[in-house]
Amino acid sequence: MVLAIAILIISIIIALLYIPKLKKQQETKTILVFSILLLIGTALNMGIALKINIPSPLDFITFIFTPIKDFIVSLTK
Amino acid sequence: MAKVKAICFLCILTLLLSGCWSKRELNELAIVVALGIDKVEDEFEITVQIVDPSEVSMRQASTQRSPVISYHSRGETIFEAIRKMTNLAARKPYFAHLQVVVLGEDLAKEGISDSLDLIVRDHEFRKDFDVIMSHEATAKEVLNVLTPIEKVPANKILNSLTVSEKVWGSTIAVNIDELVSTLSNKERGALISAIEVHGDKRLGIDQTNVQRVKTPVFLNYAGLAVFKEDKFVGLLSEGESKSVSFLSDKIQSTIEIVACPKQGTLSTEITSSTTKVKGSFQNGKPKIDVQINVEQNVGEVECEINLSKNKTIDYINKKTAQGIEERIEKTLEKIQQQYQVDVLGYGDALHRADAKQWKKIKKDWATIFPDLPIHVHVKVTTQGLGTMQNSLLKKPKEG
Amino acid sequence: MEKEIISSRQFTIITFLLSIGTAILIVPSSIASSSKQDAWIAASIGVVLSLLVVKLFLTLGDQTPTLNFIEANEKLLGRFFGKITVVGFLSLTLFAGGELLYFIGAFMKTEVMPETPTLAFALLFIIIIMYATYLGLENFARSAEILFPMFVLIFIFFVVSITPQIKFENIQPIMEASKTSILYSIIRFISVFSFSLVMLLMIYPASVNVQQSSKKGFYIGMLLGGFVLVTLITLSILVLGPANTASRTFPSYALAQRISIGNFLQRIEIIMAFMWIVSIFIRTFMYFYTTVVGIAQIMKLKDHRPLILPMGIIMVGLSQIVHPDIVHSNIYNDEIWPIYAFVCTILLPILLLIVAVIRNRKSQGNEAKTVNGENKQENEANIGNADTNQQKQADTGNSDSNHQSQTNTNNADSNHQSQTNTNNADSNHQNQANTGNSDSNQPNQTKTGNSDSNQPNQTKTGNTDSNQEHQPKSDNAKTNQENQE
Repeated sequence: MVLAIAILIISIIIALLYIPKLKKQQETKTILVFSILLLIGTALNMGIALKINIPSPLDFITFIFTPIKDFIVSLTK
Repeated sequence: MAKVKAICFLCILTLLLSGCWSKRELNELAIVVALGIDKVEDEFEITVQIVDPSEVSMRQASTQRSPVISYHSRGETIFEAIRKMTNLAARKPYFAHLQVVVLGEDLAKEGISDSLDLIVRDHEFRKDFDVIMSHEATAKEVLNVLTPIEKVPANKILNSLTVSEKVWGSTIAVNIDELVSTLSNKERGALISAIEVHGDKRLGIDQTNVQRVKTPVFLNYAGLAVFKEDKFVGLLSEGESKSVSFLSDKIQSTIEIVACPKQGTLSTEITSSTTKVKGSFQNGKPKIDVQINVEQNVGEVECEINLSKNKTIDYINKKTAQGIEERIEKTLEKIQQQYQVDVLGYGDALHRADAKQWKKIKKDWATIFPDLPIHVHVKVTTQGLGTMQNSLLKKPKEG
Repeated sequence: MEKEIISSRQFTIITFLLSIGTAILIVPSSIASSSKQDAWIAASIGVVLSLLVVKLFLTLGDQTPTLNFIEANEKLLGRFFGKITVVGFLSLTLFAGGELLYFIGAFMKTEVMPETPTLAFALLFIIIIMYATYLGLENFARSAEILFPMFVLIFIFFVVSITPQIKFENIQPIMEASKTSILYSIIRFISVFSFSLVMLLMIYPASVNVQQSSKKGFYIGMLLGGFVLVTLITLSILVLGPANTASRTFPSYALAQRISIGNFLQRIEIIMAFMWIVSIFIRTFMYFYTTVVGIAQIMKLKDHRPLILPMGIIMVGLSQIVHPDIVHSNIYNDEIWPIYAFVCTILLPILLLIVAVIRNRKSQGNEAKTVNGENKQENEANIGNADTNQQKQADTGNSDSNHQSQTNTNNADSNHQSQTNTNNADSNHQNQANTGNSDSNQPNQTKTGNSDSNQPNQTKTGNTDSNQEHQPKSDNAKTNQENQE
């Protein structure tokens, strides 16, 4: 719990440090991408700190590629 | 400002780099030098021999305390027994300096594979120690004997094992990795050196054991123990163990005794011996050829013999070769007929020679092995006679 | 953002260390389990096959001399499809980077410090990687140059110390494994060893200052890396035996544990572990750098630096969830990764290569265009178009005459991109890296003074003139040849 809050605080600090700098440079796209990534990262890490069971993205990849793998294995048998 | 930042950064760095996360200070460690495993009433009993560093150190004067302490504990598995030991021991045992593992005879009779898995899997056990078996004694008794000269008995056990392997040949120092590979090979049997306790076992534990000129209780290596499928089946005598060492190319130096043509004996010191094992298949039937090349010096002359003649040297060579061959053949017979287990790795030799044919007979190896023809040829050359030529004490009769 | 240049020696070193990567730790175990004592044969064949892989990458790099891989995607496949393939590719690098962070944590946790949470290792590692990315590619190349001799020395020491313990029986009988199992071993070996070399395409044509020797460098680095791996696998089998190698999680660490010289120099395996940490660092850096720069480029951002911090945070998070345990990791690496990596790192470059070749042929056919006039217009129209410029540049790469005069200079921004060298009537300019024009280069190109950055290939001519885009053609013909190494 404490860890999750700490992560949130750190992300906010990072955001506060960076966004004004970027605003000055008028790079709205950068700010957008930066914020999205920061959001994803924070959410992910908070999930881990709160011990939520986040499924691994590699399972998704495995799911996509398993038919191909089975196909190749059956070829070489 | 930049300087302040840099200094702060360096300070943080030192905090991180000192690696404090899972630290264990030296005074939290109980350094285990020997581990003994016994089986008592379906439970594992382990004995650890822990060094008391202040006793062994050179700087401090030794008080009357014993240089090593042994703790025992029981558990359903070895891992449990080790952790339980913290009930007894002042500190958690630290196994990284383990020198030797002693397996009790009772445990060996039931099978040693179960007890070895922890040792191989755990990261704290390094793989550089040897394994021996205790014969006619429990591992606990073996580890409770104080030895003279070597303050730490585990050192004595290990040294005796390695030195004896080098100069006498009736023991083989088996490293844990080797042992596990051999055990995992279904067609092969393992060989471990066996140690015995001579004297009254209860007295060995006392400091008085080493306070006399002749120690009443001492540890002695008795030969090689034969394992069939990880169970102990029998002990080879010293002569037989020497033959096995010859066959496994483990002899570095040993002695052979030869009978002189007239009465008396002659001893030769073997300085080098190389063994080549070749497996081959003839008409689908396997056979093994062993070629042993021995170089020796004459070591001790106790008979009347003229050493300056070529004929004599040939005679010595022939007789030594004969002696070694006979003993080896007897040993092989015992291994093949009585124990019926391939401890010498001949199955692997056949596998290396011809993998396809080996695959065919692999399943029946246990029944093929007792009848496997093994041809042993020993070739001996004598290089020197020592610092004397003919013995002064036994002058050969002229003629 | 500055255009970064690394020398070909640095490039060779990076290739060498990158190809070793994590293979040094996981490959011996997985290929010994399928081919047993013939694993060294599988590894050697794998190294030879990787030569083809490298050839593929080099050819692709030559087609797009001024762009790195990500931009080439968009240029060749068009904006829409290019973006899709880039996203697929970036997903590979992102997940692989997370995997590597997991891996370093798992290694430390298994062998060295079992009570430390893997998060600590991942955090420390990512901080270094983020800092390295922030400092840029040149700094990274220099640090690789420093780490290289240490790596080599430790490796030589390792090999020499372990050689006395070799037992030749362990490698016999030879060629006992079936062809299928050797095939699987080869596939697994190549997938860990050379598929990740695709990331070098991020730096290969665009940032390297001497073209020919860096091509050679690519091959040499890969071969050296392969040599190290084959040596290690062979030693592993010779000393530990095939059964032991296959059953251990990290056989090379077990091998290092066996070093004992004169019963005195023992227990130094953690120094060997330094080798692994160096190679993992290089590989993780490349994955991270590729991801960050890739995202910056598909989003057309000017600078990738602000993205480093959030990306690092994401990677740390990924490393904790990507594999719940080591069994999952082993299965994934054995079965899924070869296919996934094949699609993104081999099929994709092949696709790009085919498209590039087709486009080349097409534009060669269009010689009817009046050379300069049209081109000028094309070029001028391009001012300010970050993207389209690239497309134009693609053309220039191909044709000969089409673009000879390129407006250059005045474009504070992109126009320099249009300054493709072209000049090459003949050589279809694979060597015309000239200006490594990627969006980021624009700011630099305003500084005409940069002879270096702008023309990687033109180091010879020492043409500061290189900045002069308006070189009369005659000169160009000459200089260009000079530039075309």
